[in-house]
Amino acid sequence: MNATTFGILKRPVVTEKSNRLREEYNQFVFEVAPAANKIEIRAAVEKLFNVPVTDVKTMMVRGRIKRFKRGYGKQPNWKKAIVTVEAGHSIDLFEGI
Amino acid sequence: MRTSVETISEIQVKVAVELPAEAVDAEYARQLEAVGRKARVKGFRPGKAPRNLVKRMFAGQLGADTAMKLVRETLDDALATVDRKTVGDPQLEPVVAKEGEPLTYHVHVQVMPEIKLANWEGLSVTVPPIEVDEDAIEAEIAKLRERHKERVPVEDRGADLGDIVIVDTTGEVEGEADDRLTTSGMEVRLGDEHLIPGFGDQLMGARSGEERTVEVSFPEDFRPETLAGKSARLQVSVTSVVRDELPDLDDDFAQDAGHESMQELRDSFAEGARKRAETERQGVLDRRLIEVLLERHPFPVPPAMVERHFQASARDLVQMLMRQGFPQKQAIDLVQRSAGGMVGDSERAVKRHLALEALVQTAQLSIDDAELDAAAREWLDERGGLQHHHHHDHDHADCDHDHEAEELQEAREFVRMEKLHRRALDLLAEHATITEAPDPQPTDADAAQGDDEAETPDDEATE
Repeated sequence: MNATTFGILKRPVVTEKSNRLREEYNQFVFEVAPAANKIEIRAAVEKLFNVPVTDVKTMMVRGRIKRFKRGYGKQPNWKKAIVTVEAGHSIDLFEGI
Repeated sequence: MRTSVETISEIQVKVAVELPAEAVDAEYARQLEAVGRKARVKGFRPGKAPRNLVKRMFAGQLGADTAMKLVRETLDDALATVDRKTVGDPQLEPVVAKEGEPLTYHVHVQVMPEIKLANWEGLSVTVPPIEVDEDAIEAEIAKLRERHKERVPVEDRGADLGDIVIVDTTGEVEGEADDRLTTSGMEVRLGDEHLIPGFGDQLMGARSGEERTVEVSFPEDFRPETLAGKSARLQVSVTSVVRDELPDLDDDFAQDAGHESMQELRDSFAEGARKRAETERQGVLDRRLIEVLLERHPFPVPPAMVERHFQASARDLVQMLMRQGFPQKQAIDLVQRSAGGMVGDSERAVKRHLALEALVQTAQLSIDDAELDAAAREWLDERGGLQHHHHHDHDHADCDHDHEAEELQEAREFVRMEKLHRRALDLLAEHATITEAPDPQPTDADAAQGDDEAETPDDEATE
């Protein structure tokens, strides 16, 4: 798929788990464009953050069904990518927490 | 901690306080811990968010809380460096702490003015001479007589002007029987202008036990309106005829009133009147002395002191009104409406107090502790003795301050003030030129200065 480098990674995921992955395995979690593939993701991360990526794992997350006063609504599904970065390197986005 | 004091005016001061960065960081870390333990951050269970993230998200609150805590801890020490006595609540300029930087904050606080009484001797005042009003005394005696009057039956003659006829009545209005005309035990004072015209006249000469028939016409403006303008016929049955007798002004009367003889009664009243006149004169003298003293030594008054005095006065007034039966809301409302005048009174009272305190200092007046102690206890006794733990909302066992000692101390301060201020005023009078001359007419200043004396004037007139 031909997508721009900038359209691939949408936002970082900041949660207890993502924090732990970062601290323990040097892995960084992103929400990515649902149509992106691992190859594209790897390329985007390496390009944008200048870090070598050793692995990418992806999964689709189902959006939650939330209840509103006027009925039910469904949040969109999205794709989560776990990117393993080579030891010694890190991604600043995550504030070096 | 470093402090510096800047004088803004005679009654206001600004204190700048600087705290080292280490202290700031230490407190900041503590606040961060505290917040972190409870913080709710999206994506994390409460308290599980990493500290750095918490720091970023709550930076504003952390800065503010750290600053507040540090200020609270150091404020008292900072204010202690001000050499004059502070008044009222200090006002803090808003401040936020930053990690790694020292914290500087500024506080504004009012202080007592420095009063130098260079010129308190040789004041010149005029007071009206003491006059004892003979007429007033006679009027009082007449009132006393009135209170001791007796009701005496009139037996040997018919009712005359001034007598009271006690009757039962029944009657009819324009031919029809009417309950409104039925009374029992009604008192009719013959000659009273409030009686229905003709009623009294027709009862002249009546005696106890008599029955008479009386015709009357109700006036046009009579109440109830349903009777106005009508005529009626009443059957009057006289139960008794009496009159009020004033006692003669003799020694018996005096004794009933609690004195040994008429002469003693007169003397006592005269003495009372004289004392009252003296007290008033003393009050006038005191007021005028202070006026002149203040004119010679003007000084600013801290608004916080005036406010405090006013609040206390207002509260007292509300309490008093409530004791007299006013509901709370009404009492508060009334007091609020007269608030303007009261603030002026408070200001005068505070000025007077400050001036007298200054004089006490300048003239180095003092009371020794033993005398003060004795006087304080006496004062407390007059008011019901030491209040043994009345306002206690915790067990005696938990009490860590001595209520009795506190109360005694308060009494001592109050008595000290009373006595020393009295001596200060007397001192002023001694060194002043007092001229006796009647006032041209009541001045507005005198009328306005009602009861702002904080002390009880002595009875001795000073010359």
